[in-house]
Amino acid sequence: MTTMETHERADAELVRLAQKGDVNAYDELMHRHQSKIYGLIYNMTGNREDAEDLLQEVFIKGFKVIKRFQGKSSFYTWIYRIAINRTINFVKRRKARVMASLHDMDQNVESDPLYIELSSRESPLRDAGLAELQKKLNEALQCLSEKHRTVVVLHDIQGIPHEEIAKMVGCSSGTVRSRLFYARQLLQSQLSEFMS
Amino acid sequence: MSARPPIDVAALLALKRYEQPDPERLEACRRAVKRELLFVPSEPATATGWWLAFRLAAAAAFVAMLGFHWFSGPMAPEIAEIYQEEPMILAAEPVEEERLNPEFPLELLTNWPGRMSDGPIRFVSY
Repeated sequence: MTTMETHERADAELVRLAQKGDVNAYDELMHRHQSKIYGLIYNMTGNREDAEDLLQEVFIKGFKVIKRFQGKSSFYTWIYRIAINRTINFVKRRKARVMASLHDMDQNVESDPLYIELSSRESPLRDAGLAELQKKLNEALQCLSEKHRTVVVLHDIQGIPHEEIAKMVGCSSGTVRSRLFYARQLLQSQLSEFMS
Repeated sequence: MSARPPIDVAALLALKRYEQPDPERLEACRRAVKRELLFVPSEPATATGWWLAFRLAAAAAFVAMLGFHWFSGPMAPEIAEIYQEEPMILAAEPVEEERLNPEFPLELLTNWPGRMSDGPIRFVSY
């Protein structure tokens, strides 16, 4: 049995307890998945305060409706779906207000081969550094439509496979691939100065 | 001088994985949710479905009751005619005297209040 399967089985047990109203079991589920869900929301909104508020909303909503969860997918996929829907609704409502409040980058980024290459090039990044790169990446992401941003965040930032994303957003994996292709093209033009 | 290959956008975006949330703030979110959950009851499995079905059934029963009351209230004229005739037949039948209480005031049968003015007597009580 793989670690993933063991994890999913343990999740299923916690879900059963949570469905009976066990808050501690649900708290454990949140503890397991909150970082990933937070990452999704943060990269979708580009704002950490909004991400923290939405993270709480997502898990509260999840608890309210957990009795309707029938176990046809993993808890992880199910809670992601709630997070995607709520975040997209939030971003649509917020459209006029774009206020970035970003996290600091982990200093390990400076030893990433891509970052080393970028900062050694004749590029704006070499002069501006990490903060500029982070700002540019977030701005470029915010230029995408919600559905394109969702697949980019889930696949390129969070590393989730196409088939899993298809289940989360409720479309075919072919659609996920085409959205990803289109989104990368848009990002390429947005980030062209770093690519040169 | 050879041109550098373009940087893969996906690889560039992967750098965003180095943006790490503050673990203390995440922990605070988790505690806030747990506190909230102690006061938020979870919804029943198919609450919406069952509740809706119950309400629809109750509404249908109420409408049926109203309908029954409505149609059984005012009598259709052709049915009312039959009922008009029936008491006449009853009134024409001779009263079995042996069943009468000798104490019963017989004049009450002939001078029943309303018998002549309001229509026939529907039943006779001994």
